[in-house]
Amino acid sequence: MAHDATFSVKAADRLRDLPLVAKLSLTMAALLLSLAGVIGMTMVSTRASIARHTRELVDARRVKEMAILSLALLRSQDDMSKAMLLDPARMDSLGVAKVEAFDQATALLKRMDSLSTSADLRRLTNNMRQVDEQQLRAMDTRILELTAVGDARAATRLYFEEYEPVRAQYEALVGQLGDVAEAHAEEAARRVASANRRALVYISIALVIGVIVVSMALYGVAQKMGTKLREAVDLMDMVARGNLTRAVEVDGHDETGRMAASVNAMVRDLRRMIGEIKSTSTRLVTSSGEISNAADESSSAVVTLGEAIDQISAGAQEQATVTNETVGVVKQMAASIEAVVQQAAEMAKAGNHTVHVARRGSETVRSAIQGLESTRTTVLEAAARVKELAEHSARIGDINKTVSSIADQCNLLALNASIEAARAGEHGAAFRIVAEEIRDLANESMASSGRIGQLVAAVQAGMADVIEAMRVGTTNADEGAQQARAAEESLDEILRTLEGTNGELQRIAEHAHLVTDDVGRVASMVESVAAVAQQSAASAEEMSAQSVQVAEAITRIARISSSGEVGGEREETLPVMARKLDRLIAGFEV
Amino acid sequence: MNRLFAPILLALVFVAAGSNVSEAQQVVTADGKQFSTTEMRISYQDTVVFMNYDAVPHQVFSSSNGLRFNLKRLLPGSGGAVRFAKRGVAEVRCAIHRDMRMKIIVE
Repeated sequence: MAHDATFSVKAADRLRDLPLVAKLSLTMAALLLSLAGVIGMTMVSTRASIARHTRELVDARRVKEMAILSLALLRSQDDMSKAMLLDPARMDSLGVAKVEAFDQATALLKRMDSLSTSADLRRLTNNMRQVDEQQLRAMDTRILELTAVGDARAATRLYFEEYEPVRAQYEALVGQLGDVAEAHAEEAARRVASANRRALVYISIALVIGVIVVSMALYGVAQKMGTKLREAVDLMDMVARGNLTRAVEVDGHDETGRMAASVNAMVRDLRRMIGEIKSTSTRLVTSSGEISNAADESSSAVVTLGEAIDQISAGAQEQATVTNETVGVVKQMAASIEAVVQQAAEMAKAGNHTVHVARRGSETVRSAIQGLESTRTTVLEAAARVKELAEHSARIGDINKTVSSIADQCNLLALNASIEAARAGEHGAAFRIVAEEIRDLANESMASSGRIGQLVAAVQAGMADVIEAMRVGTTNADEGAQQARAAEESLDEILRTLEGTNGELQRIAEHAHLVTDDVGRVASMVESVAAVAQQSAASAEEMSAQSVQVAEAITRIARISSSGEVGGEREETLPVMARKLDRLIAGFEV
Repeated sequence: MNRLFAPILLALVFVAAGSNVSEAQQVVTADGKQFSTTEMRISYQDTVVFMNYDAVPHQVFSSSNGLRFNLKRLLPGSGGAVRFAKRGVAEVRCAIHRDMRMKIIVE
């Protein structure tokens, strides 16, 4: 129970805290739902009623139309019956047509019976069916049988005396059915109209109630908003008169509640601000005097500062001039170093050429040494060959001696042969001639051997001279080779010295290039220093001008912060403004 | 009496129906204001002979689409034949006695 009460209080608080738009929307939604429910139920009920009555109306109209059609079919059958009575031969053709009309009439009667919803209509259709089935059909069959067998007279009598009155009764029933059906249709139409009117009335009442409830809800909301607005306006009026002690009552967290809270917060902030302004104005009066004194001191300091800035400006100008001169000197240094670099490059180039020439000389000496060694080898080989020739010539001398000995012996033999031939007489004459010839040959051989011996001796003497000359030549070639090697070593030493000198020259040129780059950077740095010096001079001049403006501003501050008249003219000074502010704030009640 | 003459009449009807003996023939009688059967199945081109055994006249006909015929007045003891040259269902009735109905199914 207590839980339910707490829940209800929480729900009421939540509902009260909802925004006004949400409250209005909820109210309107509830109202519209109620209206829709009422109208929907009315519409459903009315629709069912109208549908039922409309169906009754339609069925009644259809029953009436079917009754009229049934009557027409009945009369058509009567016409055919009369035609057959007058001419029985026509029965063959009209009989079938009459059966078809009969079938249609029977179907209509069944349909009318099914559509007859009211008791009186059902009673009438039941009577019609009974008359048709129990009386008319039997009599009609009998009339047809009589007609078919050719008894037209009996058939005619039966038709007019018995069938015709019953048929008239049937027609009366059909007419009555039509009238009752029409009455039912009119009644159903009246009920439809009545249901429509009733629905219209219900919906109108529901709408009127809805409009009244909506108006009441809107009035309630507007009343609440108006009350809160009036309270807020009253509070604003009091604030305008300087009374900041009041506040608006805050109830709920909807728009009006939030507006009241905001107004209260605004008044509270105003109260706090006024208090702060009061204390600030008091401090402002005190501070303005201090500012005035400080401004006087600042003014004198600014004058001193201006003088210092002028001195700085002059120094900066002088620095710029000196720096420009330094730039010129550095550029001259750069040009000189560039010339040194070029000379070093040319020396390096000449050194390269010298090294090249020395290398060629060394190669020439090396080839000369190789030539000398080759000559020495050749001479040594020739000496060996000459020695071999000397040996061969010595062996020729030995052989020559042998030949000379053989020639001596042949000469001796030839002499002995001549002696023997002479002893043989005439028989040995021919032999003596041969012996003389042999002796001559031996003498010639001896003479030739003697010449050969002389020649061999001369050859051997010549060879000895040649060998000696070769020995001397070989010795000279060795000495030449040694001297050439010494020259080669000297040339190699010269070449190494030249290459070392050339490397030093190239390093000198590279260092000179580096020095040139450094001098270029130094020149650009000195130029930057010169630009900075010029800029410093310009800045110093600008600072000097600004110090004048600062001095004027400080003078103005001092004038504003001082009390009383300045320069014979009345101005709004800070103390004056602080006193005005005090007077204004004194009007507020906090 | 009629029942005695019926075979003779039937034989006469057969002769009158034609010489094509391959076509079947069926007989339906009307007796007691009712047909002898309520439904009959015959073949295409078959002939049905309606015989009136009643003491009252009948007028046998059919209005079914494609199978229309009208035998006109059949006096007691008389008959009529119908050859069905189309397939379908013939609703056969009497124009004098409206409750007399039967169905012939031509297959």
